[in-house]
Amino acid sequence: MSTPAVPVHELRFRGVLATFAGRAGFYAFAALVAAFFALPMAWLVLAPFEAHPTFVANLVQPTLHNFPVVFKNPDALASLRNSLVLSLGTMALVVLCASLAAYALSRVKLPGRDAVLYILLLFSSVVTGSAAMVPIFVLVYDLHLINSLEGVILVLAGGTLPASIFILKDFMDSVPTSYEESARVFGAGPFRILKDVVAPIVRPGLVVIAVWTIVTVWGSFLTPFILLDKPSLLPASVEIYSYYDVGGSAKLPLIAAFALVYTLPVVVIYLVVQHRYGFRFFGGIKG
Amino acid sequence: MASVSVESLTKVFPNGVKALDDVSLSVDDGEFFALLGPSGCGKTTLLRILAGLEPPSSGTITIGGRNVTRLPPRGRNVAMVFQDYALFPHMTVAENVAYPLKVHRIDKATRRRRAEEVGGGLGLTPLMDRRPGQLSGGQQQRAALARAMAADAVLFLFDEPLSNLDARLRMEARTLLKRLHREVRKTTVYVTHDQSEALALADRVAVMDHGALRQVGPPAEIFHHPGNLFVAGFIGSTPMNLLPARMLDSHVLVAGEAIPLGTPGGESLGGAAGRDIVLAVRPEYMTLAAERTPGSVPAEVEVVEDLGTTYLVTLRGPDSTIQAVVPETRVPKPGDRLFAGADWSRASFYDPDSGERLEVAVSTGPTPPTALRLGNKLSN
Repeated sequence: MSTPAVPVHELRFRGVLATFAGRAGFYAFAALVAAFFALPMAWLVLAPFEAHPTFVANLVQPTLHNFPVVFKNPDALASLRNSLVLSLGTMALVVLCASLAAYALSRVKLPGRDAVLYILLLFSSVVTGSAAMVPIFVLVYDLHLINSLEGVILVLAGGTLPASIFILKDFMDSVPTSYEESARVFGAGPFRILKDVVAPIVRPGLVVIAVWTIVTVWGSFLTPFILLDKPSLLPASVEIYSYYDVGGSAKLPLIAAFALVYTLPVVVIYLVVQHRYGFRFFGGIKG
Repeated sequence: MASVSVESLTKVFPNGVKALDDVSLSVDDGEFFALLGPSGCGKTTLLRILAGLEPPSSGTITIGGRNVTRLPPRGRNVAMVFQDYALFPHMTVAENVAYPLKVHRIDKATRRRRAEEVGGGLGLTPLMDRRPGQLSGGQQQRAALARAMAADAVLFLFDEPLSNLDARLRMEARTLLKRLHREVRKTTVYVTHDQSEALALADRVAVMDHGALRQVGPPAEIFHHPGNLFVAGFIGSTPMNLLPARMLDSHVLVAGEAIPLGTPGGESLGGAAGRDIVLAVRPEYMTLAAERTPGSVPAEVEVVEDLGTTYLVTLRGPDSTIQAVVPETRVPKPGDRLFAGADWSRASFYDPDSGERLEVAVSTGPTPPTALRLGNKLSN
C-alpha cells in the first residue's frame, strides 16, 4: 500500500474532503427523512386554517371558519367526549390494577414469575391486535358489552396492562424494602403501605403508565371500531373516518379542523408532563 | 412498658441456613439489652423476629406478658430504628415522625403537635419541614429516633442505628441514646456488631455467634469474665492474649513459669489438675519488665503500634504471640528482649476443647503482687 509519490499533506487533504463529502451526504439524507415526516405535520397545522384545504400543505386563504363547523357538529363533540371517557377510564383501571399487580409481583417470590411476565408482555399485543379480534368480539358479545364504552375500556385495559405491570414492577423493585418494613412495624397494612409509601415513591412510574395508556387509547382505532357501532358512542379516532359527503369524497375542511382538535390534548399532556417531570422518568428516587 | 421473653427460638431460612438455634432469653421491663456478635451471627434475624417482620420456625415470643409469636408487627406495639433509617423520602420530617400516628388514624393537628414535641426534644425543630434527602446523616438518625419515640410503643428495637454515622457523630449519638433511655426507661433491644457500643449503652449484653447465645450478662461481667473462648476473643478493643498453659496442683504453668492459684491445696481445681488449659489475659493487664521476675515469661518485641495515649506492643513469646498495652511513657523498641508478666488475678482460664470457662481463682494475696506487677521496673 505504499504510494510514496503523494505527499503527506496531499493525503490529509483528500481525507478531509472525503469526510466532508460523507457529512454532506448524511445531512442530505437526514433532511429528506425529516421532510418526509414533517410534511404531514405541516399539513396538520396549516390545513385547518385554510378555507379550501386540499392534500397540499399550504395556506392560501387563511380562515378560522373550519372550527365552528366542528363544534356545531354534535357527533364530533360527542366523539371527543367518548374518547376522553375511554382514555381516562382505561387509565384509571390500568393504574389501579397495574399498581396492585406490580406490587404483588415485585414483593412475592413465585417460581416462574419472570417467565409469566414476559409471556404476558408478548401476548398483550395480541389482545388489542387484529389476530384476536374475532374471539374478543365473541367474548364481549357474550358479556353483552357490545356498544358500551365499558366493554371497550375492559379490552383496551387488558391490552395495556401487561406492559404497564412490567414497567411498574421495575420501579417497585427499586424501592428498598426497609421503607415498607418500617411502615409495617408502625402498624401499616399492605394497602396502606402501597398507598402511603410505595405509590408516592414510584409516582414517576405511575405517570409513565398513565400517560402511555391515555395516549394509546386516545389513538386506538380497531378495538372501538369493532366493538361500537352506535354513532353516539364512537370515539374521535373512529368518528373522523365518517366525514365523507354523500358523493363519497372526504370533507377536508371538517377533517382538517377535527384532526387538529383531536391532536391537541395529547400535545398538552406531553407538555404538562415534560414541564413537571422533565421526561426524566427513569431517574431513580434517591432520597 | 413491657418485659420481653424469648423461648427456644429457632429460625431456619428456606435455603436451609439456620440463623437461630434454640435461643432463649429474657429482657426486663425498662432494660437496655444489647445483642452483640459478628456479622451473620443471627442478631438481626432475632430482632426482626421480635418486630414480627420474620416468622420464627419454632419457639415463642412474649412481650408484656402477651404471646405475640403469631401476631403481625401491627399487633405488637413495637417501634424500630433501621440501620438505613428507612425515612420515607417523599415525606417531610414532621410527616415521617408522625407517620405511626397517621397509621392509627389520629387527626392531623394532634399528629403535628406530637411531631413538634418529640422532634423538639431531639433538636429537630428547625428541620421539621425538610425532606430526609436534605438532612445530614446525624439529623436523619435523630429523625428516625423521633419517629420511633412518637409511636408510643412498649418496646424499642434498634438495628445498628449508629453504623452509618462517622466516628465523632457516633459518639454523640451514643451519648444521646443513653440519655434518652435514662429519661424514658423504655425496654430496648439493640443490635450491634460494635462491642464498644454494646458495653457503653447496655444494662445487659448478649454475645451471639452462629445463631446461639454465647454469654448473657452485664457489660462488666462480659468484659472481665468472658464465659468462653469465643467471648474472650471477641470482646475487647485489642484481642485477649490466649496462652497455652497447664494446670498443676496449686499453680498454673505458663511457658515454664508457675503462677500461684488463690486457694491453697488446689481445692478449687475441681479435678482439673494436670490438664492443659488456655489462659486468657487482656493486653491492658499485661506488664513488661527488663528483668526476669517470678510469674513472667521472656519475649522479644516485634511490633509497636501507637494507640494515642497508649501503645500496643506485640511480642514473640516462647509458645505464642503476646500482646501488651503499655503507657506512652514506657515504649519499648522492636527487637528489645523483655519479660512479660501480668496481673494474673485478672486472668481467665478455659478448657481448650470445649472453650468453656474454668472457675479458678488466682491469688491476689501478699506474695504475687511484688512479683507480678512489674511495669514500674521497665527500662527505657
